[in-house]
Amino acid sequence: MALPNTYWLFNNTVNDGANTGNATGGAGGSSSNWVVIDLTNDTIMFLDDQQTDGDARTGSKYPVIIPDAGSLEAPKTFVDDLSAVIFDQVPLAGTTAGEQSGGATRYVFAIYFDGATAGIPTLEAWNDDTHAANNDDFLGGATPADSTLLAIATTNAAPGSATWAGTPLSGTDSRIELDTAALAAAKNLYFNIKQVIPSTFTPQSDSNIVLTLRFLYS
Amino acid sequence: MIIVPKHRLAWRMRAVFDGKLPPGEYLTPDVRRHNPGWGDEVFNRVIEQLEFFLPTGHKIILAGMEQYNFFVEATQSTRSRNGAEIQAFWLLGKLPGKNVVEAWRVGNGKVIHDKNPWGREWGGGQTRGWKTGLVWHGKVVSKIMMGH
Repeated sequence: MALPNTYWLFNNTVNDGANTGNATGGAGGSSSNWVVIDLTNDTIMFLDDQQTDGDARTGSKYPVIIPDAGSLEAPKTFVDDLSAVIFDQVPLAGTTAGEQSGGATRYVFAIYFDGATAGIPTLEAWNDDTHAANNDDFLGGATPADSTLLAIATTNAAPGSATWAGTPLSGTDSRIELDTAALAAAKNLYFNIKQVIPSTFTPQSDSNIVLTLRFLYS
Repeated sequence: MIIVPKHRLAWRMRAVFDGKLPPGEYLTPDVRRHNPGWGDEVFNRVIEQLEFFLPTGHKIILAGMEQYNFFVEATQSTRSRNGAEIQAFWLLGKLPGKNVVEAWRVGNGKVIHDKNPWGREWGGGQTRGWKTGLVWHGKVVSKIMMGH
């Protein structure tokens, strides 16, 4: 149970199939296609529906518009892919409340472990990579339940609803377990994620939020 | 017994085994830089005592527990530039006959002592890698003290 290597991937197709390529991704089940996220250079982004799959990352970027009333699920999800120089869409992310192909979709983001763990891996969100604070306005300020990032583990099953609510992500106060037990061997863990912005949200310009995988080894 | 000068034991964990058969103990390398080996089932002996050595010269001792566990807590974020980062080291001992776990967390410059429910000992979930301990008629040790 040595330190496992972990790889983050996303499915850039509308085909809901598993990552069979493990660490390297590529063609997966049901004609899905998995792309490895370069954690040093790539960024997961929630953008407006004016953004188009394959747009040059050096071109226009369309942020989510805060709604007049109620709340709005970010219409589209992308990975800002530095090496491909594009915004690569993650079409299955989110729910049917978005403007892409989200819903009760299971194989959206994957984290591949190449070995066992001593505990159940969790997915969290923090202000930054120091993991010291989770009070960014995007993470609910002082109220983790108000985080704008909501995720659901799909390792063992698809969400039960096409409009799944998800769990707000904010530090260790509110996070999701990516499986039901510690990993006994190499495995892909899956999750779906969305961003929901309320009309009361104050625009942010200086956030440096990270998604964080926390796990145990021995 | 392996003799090592003071502080050279820092960031190492020692499991002392019951009985007189060699080896009498399992001593990890510096667990900041090396895998502890605990989960690799490299030993399967009854444990009399578990120790974790701090760079301050202190050590954490667990003894008399029904079962023991040791693991490393790590994170990897979407901004991680150098792979996974260690956040903490954990020593755990299950109290004899009770569904309670003595937990010591060493991380972020702090040592935290806690008691957690058995089966929910980390993050509200169960952990793997528990190894059998030698029970001393219910007498247990769970403390931090000076001296390597």
